[in-house]
Amino acid sequence: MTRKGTHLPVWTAEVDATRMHVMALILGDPNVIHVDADAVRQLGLGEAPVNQGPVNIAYLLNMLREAFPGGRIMNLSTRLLANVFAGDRVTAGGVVTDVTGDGVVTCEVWLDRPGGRALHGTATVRTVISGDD
Amino acid sequence: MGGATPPDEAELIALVGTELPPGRHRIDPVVSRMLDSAVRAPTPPGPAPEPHPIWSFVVAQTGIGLDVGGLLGLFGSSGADGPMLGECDLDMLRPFETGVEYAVTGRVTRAVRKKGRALGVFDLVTVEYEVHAPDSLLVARCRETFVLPRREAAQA
Repeated sequence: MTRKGTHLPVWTAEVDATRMHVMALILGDPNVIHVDADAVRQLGLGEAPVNQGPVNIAYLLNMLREAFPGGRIMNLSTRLLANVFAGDRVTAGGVVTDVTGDGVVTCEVWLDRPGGRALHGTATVRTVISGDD
Repeated sequence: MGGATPPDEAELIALVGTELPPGRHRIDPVVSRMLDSAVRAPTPPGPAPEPHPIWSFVVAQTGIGLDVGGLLGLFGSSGADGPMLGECDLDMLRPFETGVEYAVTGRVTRAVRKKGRALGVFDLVTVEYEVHAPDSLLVARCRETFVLPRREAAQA
């Protein structure tokens, strides 16, 4: 898993509107597009509730945690390119772009939804836990 | 359409450097499990499972002394304007723990007005948060860039 060019195992899930309600409460996010499909239609954004951006980011973190068991994610930088909707099946993936001698791995990561890429970014993971970590 | 009056470009730029009111956040262990379920992550085994790393975003956003509506209001925007999270940069320096009270500070680090084909006039505003543990060590840093559509500015 720690060689440059290695593709990380993909992580997939179907996005569920009920879970958006829970995240709206946890985030204190009043934006109705996460809980009301009619509001989404009226804004011309689509036909179903829009998943919260940090939840899409969490999917990338899930993929990285499964790809590097026991590792520690140090940084994740993402650009949010498109909305993810309730009912979408999303796929998180990545590829190793750099590995340092002390076990720090840099990856290009992404989250795809039907019709295109929703998130794109880079992540840094420490795959060897040092004694003082 | 919007629920707030947008600043003019000079007023927008002058917001850079604005310190947000500091605040605190404690991760409740039950809420930590709820978040794991909401983002489809397994809760680690054990009596005190480590919170999911996305808490670096959640603690920053919910711990700062300004709610989401208040933050948008600072930039003369509101949920009715269709704001979007455009970029997010998370530094996760130490693991979070449930039951620990974290201190959150934040400031505006960038505010620029742009014009694009799809959105018309919009602002890009970046807010940077720092999350510190009770021993003052930095636990996480979160930089969020919001895209704020400015229909009013486009019509001016």
